[in-house]
Amino acid sequence: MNARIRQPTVPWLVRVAAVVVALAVLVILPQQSTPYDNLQITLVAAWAVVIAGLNLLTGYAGQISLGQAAFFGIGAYTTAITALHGWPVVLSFALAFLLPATVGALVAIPAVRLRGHALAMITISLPLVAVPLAKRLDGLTGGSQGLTTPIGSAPTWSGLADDQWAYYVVLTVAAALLALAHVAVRGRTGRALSLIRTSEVAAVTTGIPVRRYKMVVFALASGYGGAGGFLYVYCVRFVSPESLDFLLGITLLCSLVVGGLRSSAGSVVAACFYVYVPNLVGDINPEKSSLIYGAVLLLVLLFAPAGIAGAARGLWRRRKLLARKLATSWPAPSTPTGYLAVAGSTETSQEENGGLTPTRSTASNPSSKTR
Amino acid sequence: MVLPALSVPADAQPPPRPELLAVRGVSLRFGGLAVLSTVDLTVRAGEIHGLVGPNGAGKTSLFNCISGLYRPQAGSINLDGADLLRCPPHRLAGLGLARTFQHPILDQHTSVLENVLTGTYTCQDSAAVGRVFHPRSALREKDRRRQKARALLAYSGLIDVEDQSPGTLPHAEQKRVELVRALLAEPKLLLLDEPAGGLVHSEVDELGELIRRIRDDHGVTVLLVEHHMGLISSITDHVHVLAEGRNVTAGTAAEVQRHPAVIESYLGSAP
Ligand SMILES: Nc1ncnc2c1ncn2[C@@H]1O[C@H](COP(=O)(O)OP(=O)(O)OP(=O)(O)O)[C@@H](O)[C@H]1O
Ligand SMILES: [Mg+2]
Repeated sequence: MNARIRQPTVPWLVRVAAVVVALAVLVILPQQSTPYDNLQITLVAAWAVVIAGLNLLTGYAGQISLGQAAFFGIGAYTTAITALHGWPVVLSFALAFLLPATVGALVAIPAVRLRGHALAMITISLPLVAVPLAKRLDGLTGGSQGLTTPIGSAPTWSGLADDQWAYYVVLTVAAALLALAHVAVRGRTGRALSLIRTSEVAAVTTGIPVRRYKMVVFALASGYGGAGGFLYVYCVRFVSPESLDFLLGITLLCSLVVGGLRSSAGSVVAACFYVYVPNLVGDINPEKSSLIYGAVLLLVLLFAPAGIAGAARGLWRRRKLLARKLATSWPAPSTPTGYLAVAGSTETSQEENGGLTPTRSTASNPSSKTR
Repeated sequence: MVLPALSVPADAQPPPRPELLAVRGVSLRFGGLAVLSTVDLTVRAGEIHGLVGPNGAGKTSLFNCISGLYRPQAGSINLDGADLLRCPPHRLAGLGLARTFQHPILDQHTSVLENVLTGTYTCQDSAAVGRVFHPRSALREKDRRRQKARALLAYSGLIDVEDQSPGTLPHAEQKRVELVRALLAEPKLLLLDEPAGGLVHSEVDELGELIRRIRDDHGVTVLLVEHHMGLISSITDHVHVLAEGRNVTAGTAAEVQRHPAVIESYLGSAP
């Protein structure tokens, strides 16, 4: 396959135009739509931050984490509790970012010393600890009932309804965080992460401090999880132990894969998938919702292994070809380009000892080469 | 110092070039398995040095010790005066060590150019602080690196495929991509693990030519593991023979090929 990679996939002008139009629509939208729809879009923005954090860790650094929900939950509870104690919003936000980031860094210390999926194993245990903890500490967390908190009301000077205010605040903060994440993985850092994802052995011999990178990325991903938790509570004003749940962690990972790994747009698509698809599925048949949900997931993975963002990129890249095909005949099924295939766990397994696999090709047998 | 099992012919003349890499008495065991036993190896600056030996001799293991991936239980490894065994592995690239792997390790999700640019990782430390204060000079630095990467890709005949995914390239070209990535780290010593492995005849000749040019044009010292004796004979200044984790002999390619132990292990065991 002759896949050209560096070529800008979507021209610069088209990108800018798309962003400007999207911004204009997003600014006008809450004036026109219902509070329910506003809340849904606000939730997409909040979850996009959580998933963007996971994307840094899983997409770029190749570390699978099933515990992103735990960091989301820590951020959400931090926000709810500090708001109840009358903290300024900015301080709540700072703590909702820093506390999970610190917990993430502490968890990462033992995990980064081990290669492979040690991190995934450790992150599985996080929700198992966090959920009972949230239920037990009911003086602080409200126990199984959860916690309702006074945050995110529109100030009178704004002249906005609460849902509109939360919409603007959450979308602005989320956009800033997504932009930061987008910039953070460009250039040198992005290349270092790619090589870590490909092979830690190759990365370390290239001079990349692998452990430090993994720790920083894990802390950052956790901080993003917490910031997403803040944004969630800012618009929902409620948190309960379900927010920490293990299943949530898995659903987030699935959404990320569906949206597209290693793509900022993919994180937003993933958040849309996470927020809207269960609703849609529930509308069709609430009894079979998890079945339909699973089927959707399977279909995306089968027909767009690079996720929706990856498939869209592939379509754009081959748009001329597709247009010609459409014009002449029945459109051929669109297979996504091969190198964009989702990075599974297979690619890192091969070279962990720097080429010490005992199997050898007969061609390099020394006896056959000596004259 | 422990003498090697089979003595290495002593050099009568004063050393023509300074020692760049000095491996002394390195022993490595995995549980009960002695992979390396008191291995000595000296590579002089500006040399192309061959490391040969039968399968399982411990050549890759020695490379892994030099590049900090394995910690030998005994011995010392010095590069240009720096004690490598005291450095964390990720520091070695900064000390002037780069390597390729027996099987190329490349990221299939990015282009050839992006892959080789990873090699410049350690060259950028100086710019890191200045970047905030001098964004323009940082940009120029970035351009310069990109140009250098493209120049080296052109030099190794890869410029036409710079935008492609490495997975789409033939094996020989993937190996060259790894070579360019290693070179971009501006190493003093380049370790090549079976660069000719899996290459057809004409490709081996080209590769030999490329390695020689790299040494001549970039002043890089090369230590290469290779089974291809034709390549070893044509480009190395010095060859070190290892068998079952022990020093066997050392000398020029012609000298070691006359050594009885080499003749035995290479020809005597031939089917
Ligand atoms: N991490 C490890 N754990 C256990 N044994 C190992 C390890 N690495 C190497 N060995 C053993 O050390 C011996 C030497 O292996 P090594 O790969 O260094 O040989 P080599 O000279 O590179 O061989 P080849 O020509 O096949 O590449 C082998 O018996 C191998 O099984
Ligand atoms: Mg080997």
